[in-house]
Amino acid sequence: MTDSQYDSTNDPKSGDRRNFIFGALLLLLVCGTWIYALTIAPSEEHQGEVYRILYLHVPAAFSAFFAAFVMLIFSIQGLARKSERSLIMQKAAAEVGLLFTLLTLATGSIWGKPTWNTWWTWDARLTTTFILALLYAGYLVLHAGLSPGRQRITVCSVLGIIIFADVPIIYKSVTWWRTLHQPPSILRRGGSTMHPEILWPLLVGLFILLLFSFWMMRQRARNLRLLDELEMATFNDSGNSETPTSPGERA
Amino acid sequence: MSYGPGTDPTPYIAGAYALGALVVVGFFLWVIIERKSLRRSLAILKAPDQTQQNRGASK
Repeated sequence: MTDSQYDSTNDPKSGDRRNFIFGALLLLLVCGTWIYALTIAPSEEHQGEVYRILYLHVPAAFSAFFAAFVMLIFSIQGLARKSERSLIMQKAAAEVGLLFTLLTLATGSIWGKPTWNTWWTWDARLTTTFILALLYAGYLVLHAGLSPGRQRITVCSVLGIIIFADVPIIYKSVTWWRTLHQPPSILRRGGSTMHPEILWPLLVGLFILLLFSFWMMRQRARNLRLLDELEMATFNDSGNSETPTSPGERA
Repeated sequence: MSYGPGTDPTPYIAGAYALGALVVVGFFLWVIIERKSLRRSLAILKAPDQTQQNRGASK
């Protein structure tokens, strides 16, 4: 079957094309905010130019937190309905969350060297963020290791809720403990301490990366569903007489 | 590499953004390639007869 024949016989592909065009537009906007950060944004009074990492580091951190929020929603749904389908979105959110948590840690580390003279320190903010990465990785290992069924739904959903519980701890860590990391400068009582010329592009970039991270989760979840469908089709094609597992069980 | 005022920030900024670009562009491309591959495999599995006819016609 050639690609052109495939194009003309599959409706879902036009939906895929729309999704990918939307994703490409979001990606262009993400790149646009980074170009702004690197070329147009003003220098910062104390840190000079290196502060420009902020426009990547902060949105990546919020995207990691957002993935945890999505996990929370689908974990509650999983516990309430005992549905394997909720695990698909949980898994997609865990993958995207892990990716953005690692990006946050890496960019923070790169930023730390010229400003703190160290790549890493066991500071409360850094440690709690590292724990978030471990929790996301642990979730993926647990998901892959457990057999499909009610036990996996319960265990994964409970872990999904625990993952979200780490987010407020990360956020408050800089006020609860003495840390090298600076205190909150965006979401704080009395308004942001940032200059509007720095703050507003940051908020726009943050919003766009949050949208893109949600797009990433949805597309990955769709791929996981297709993978399920493919496994079901392969199972039926092989003429196996045993009862196949329901869609979503191998997510 | 030193730290504090006077440090050249270029390698740090470039490194951070290169990593960010690798993550977002890499994931974007991976999702697209994986989707195309899955759709193609599903189409082949769901229409085996047609596939065989097409293979016969192309020979």
